[in-house]
Amino acid sequence: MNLRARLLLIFGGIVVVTVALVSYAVAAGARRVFQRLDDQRTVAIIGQFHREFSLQGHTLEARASAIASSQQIRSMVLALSTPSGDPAPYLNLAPSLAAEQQLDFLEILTQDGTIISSAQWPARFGLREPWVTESSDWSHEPAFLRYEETQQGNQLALLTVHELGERETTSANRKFYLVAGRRIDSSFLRSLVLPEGTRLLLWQPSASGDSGELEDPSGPVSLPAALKPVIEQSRNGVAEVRGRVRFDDTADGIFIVHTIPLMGRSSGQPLAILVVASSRRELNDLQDRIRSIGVIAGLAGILMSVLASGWWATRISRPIEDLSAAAQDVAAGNWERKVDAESLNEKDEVARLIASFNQMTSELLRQRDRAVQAERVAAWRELARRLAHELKNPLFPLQITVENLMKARQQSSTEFDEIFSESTATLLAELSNLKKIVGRFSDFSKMPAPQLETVDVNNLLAEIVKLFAPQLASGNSVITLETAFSSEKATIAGDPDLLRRAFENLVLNAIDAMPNGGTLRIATSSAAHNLTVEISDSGAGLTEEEAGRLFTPYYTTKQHGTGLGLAIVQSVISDHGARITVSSRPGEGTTFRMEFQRKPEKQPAADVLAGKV
Amino acid sequence: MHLFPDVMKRIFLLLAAALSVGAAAWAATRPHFGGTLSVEIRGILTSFDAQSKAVADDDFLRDTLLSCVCDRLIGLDSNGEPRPSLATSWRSERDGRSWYFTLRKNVIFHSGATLTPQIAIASLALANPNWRVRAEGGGVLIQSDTPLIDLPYELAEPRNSICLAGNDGRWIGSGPFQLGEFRPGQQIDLKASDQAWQGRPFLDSLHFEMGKTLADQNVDLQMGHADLVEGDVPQPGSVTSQSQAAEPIELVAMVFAPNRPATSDPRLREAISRSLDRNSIFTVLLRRQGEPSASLLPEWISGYAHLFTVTQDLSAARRLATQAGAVTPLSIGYDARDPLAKLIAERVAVNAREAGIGLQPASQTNVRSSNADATVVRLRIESPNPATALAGLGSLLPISSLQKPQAATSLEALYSIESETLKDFSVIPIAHIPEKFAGGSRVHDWRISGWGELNWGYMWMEASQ
Repeated sequence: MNLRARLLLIFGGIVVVTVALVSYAVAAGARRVFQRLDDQRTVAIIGQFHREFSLQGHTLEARASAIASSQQIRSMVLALSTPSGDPAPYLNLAPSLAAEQQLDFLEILTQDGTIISSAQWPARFGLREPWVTESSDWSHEPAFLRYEETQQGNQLALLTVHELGERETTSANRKFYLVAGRRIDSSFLRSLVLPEGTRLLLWQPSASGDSGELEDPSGPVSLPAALKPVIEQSRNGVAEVRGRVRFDDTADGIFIVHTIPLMGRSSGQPLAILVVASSRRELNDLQDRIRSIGVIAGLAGILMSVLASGWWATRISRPIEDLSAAAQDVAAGNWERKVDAESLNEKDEVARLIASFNQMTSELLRQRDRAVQAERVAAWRELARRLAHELKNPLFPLQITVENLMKARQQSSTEFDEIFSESTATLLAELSNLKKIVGRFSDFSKMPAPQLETVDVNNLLAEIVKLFAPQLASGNSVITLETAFSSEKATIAGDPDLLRRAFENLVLNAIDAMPNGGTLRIATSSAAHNLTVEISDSGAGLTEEEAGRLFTPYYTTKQHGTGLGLAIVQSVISDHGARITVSSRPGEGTTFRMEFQRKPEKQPAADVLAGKV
Repeated sequence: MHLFPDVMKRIFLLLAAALSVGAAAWAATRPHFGGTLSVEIRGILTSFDAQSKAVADDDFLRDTLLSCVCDRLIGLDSNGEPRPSLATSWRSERDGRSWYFTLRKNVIFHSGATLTPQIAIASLALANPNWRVRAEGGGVLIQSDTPLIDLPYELAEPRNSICLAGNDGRWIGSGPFQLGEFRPGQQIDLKASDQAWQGRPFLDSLHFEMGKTLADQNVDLQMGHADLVEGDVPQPGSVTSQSQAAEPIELVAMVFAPNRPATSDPRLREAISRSLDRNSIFTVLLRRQGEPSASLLPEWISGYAHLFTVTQDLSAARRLATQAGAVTPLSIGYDARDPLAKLIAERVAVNAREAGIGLQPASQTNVRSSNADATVVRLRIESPNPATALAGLGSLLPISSLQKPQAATSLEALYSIESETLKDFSVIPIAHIPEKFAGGSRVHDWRISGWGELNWGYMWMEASQ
């Protein structure tokens, strides 16, 4: 992963994490605020319910009083106060009075609780409601909840009991009761004004004893499974319970519910459970908005981070990348590579680094030039020394021969002709020797460019071994030959003549290094992309300094060597894009290792390499 | 001296005034011809098909119209005994297996046709497919394999009216009125027949408004829009002046639908029967009109109705209900047009609930084809003769044992038949209630017989002011 990608990742990550943290913090805060608002709303609704409850109770009491004061009731009481009073004519009195006063429930009962007339179930005349006789004074009792029997089953009712006492009757010895009420159902729930997002539900046990029935202001609704345990908990514990309930599978189906048990006159289990459900829709909407804003901000942040990283790349990563590329070029030998730092601030660390890099490459170039110059001077000196040395040997016989010839001429000796003949022969031989020396130097300077073709190195080495085999076996010393050629195909692109000349030179060097015999080892090893050739001897070996200078032209450790053999070998190997190294220790022999590329990417510039020398 | 003439003068004037008032009063109470009697009734008649009976109200309307338009061979006198009508005399032979009726002569039908044995035979054979009826010697001979002991009573029933079929099946009879304009389900007019063998009725015509509720009838009577209306059991505010009631002639009963798995257990049906508080129904809902009853026939007809227990026995009902096991709530149907049936059905449901049995009242548009598990029905008993009345109920109830009660020769035998019939509680009698009518102040000399027949031919109306 490059620097720019890392910068992008870091900047983007920082932005996303920051946005996520901020979103979470805002959402958590909103949740707390909503919960507080929900609590306040629930308390308000419960208060409204209790107020409505109380208001309905007062309304019922007022209507019951109005009925008690009506002429029909007075007439009835008068008629039934006599021993022969017949309640039958009053069968429909309660339904008509209930209709007048808009009551859902109205029953007229005798002193012992026997129903004279019932609005909610006219056919219940003659049955007894003993509970109405349990209180000695109903005037001080507020409205209460109770299940009233109707034709459709038991229905929850808010009831008030009104005694028809002396005020309404003229008979003090008989008492009648009016039980007036209204149904507590969806219509009652509709009378409550609810804030948006709030549901008010009423749960009542069913006659069949199953999970009960639930209704809201619109009518019966199905009871969510998750609400059952909350209701049971509230019912059994006779306490308000708070819970979280999913009403349906929609996103807005989750509600915070608050149950309020509705008790009757007597203690025991609640008659019904009021359920206040607050929707989490608004909170969900807000969280969705926060999430959306977070996502948008995150995306914007990522976009900004991309732009910022691009800008920073221009400012930071690009010079560093340029610097890195330049370093790679320098490593590849292009020491003239420079990095442009004009767009950077001079005080910038990267700018200083680039300046240092440029200064370093400049210094390296100067050092190389000096080294090349010194090397060239040294080479010329060595060449001069070698030339002097090489030329001095044939020049001395030439001088002696010419002096002998001159001396013989002065003496006019008879032997002059003979001496002249011998001297001219010697002169010609030495001149020939000089010519040969000059020819070798000329050959070195005229190393041809390799003509590449596919060469099987194993075959080439085998031919060389066959050529030198008689030489290895002759003489006083015996040199043992060991070959270890790779079993795989050892082909490279090369010039077979030049390679043969290089390998023969190395074999000759090895033979020369073992005047007292030894082991000559020639081995090849093949890999996927390269081929290695090793030629070793078990001779006296070289010192580290000798090994370091071994490929320097005209440097030789031999008594009569020109110092050009290994230089030519190195030149050939280099011209093939290969590399030659030498490893040697005194007394342990010497090994030359050549590593060839199986498929040279380009033809080596032999002239360039030659120019470096 | 001057005092005497003044006194005489005053006496004279007083006498003259008294005479004029008396003359006016005599003129007002003297029957006279003319006028249209407007009658409102709950029943509905949609066709003259004699077989399309729906409910008791419709039966009553049909019987009433038949009585006005057509005559029967035999009528009933004020004591409920057979009297000559189209048959002037009759005799039975072979222990009641053969009856011979001598037809009245010169009876002219509204179409102008004269009564012949063939006309009588056609009507009787249509209403009684099992009879062998033929003409003999200018009269009619009715024969049967079984004794027809109470045949005169049976012939006095409206279904045995002697009618000719006119266009669209309209009845053409020899009665005091003939059919006029007819709007099915709404109204029907009857016109006085000048050729009636009993003599022309006082009224010129009868105008029947059908399908009127009792409340509407009551209001119309008070407003003078109706002259004669039905008066069901008294309700608060109803007009009770100038009302007349027949004997308890309608059976109110709870009839279980046959072959229903939910009500197949007789213990369940008995539990419902024992839970019934008939006395409360009688005192409160029926306002002590009629009688609480656990028998099919009322006491005034059979004389043995008191032998059937009418008291409530809740403990026995609860025990039987427990033995029958839990059942799903049953439905009890009632005629949607009949508020009394509704109240009774609701009370039955209350009583059954006390016994632990769920009954849910359900209104029905036609109780004869009710889909409820049980139905509160009102059945009109059309004869004061116990055997004939029981047979008539047998034709209305899904009870095969009542189809041939005429074979019974004694009340003991009838009691036995009825006891056996009611033993499986498929039919639970609740009460017998009378038929009542209320007339306006302009209608005079109207009477209702014990078995619910009105004397249409003798009514008359005061002339309009």
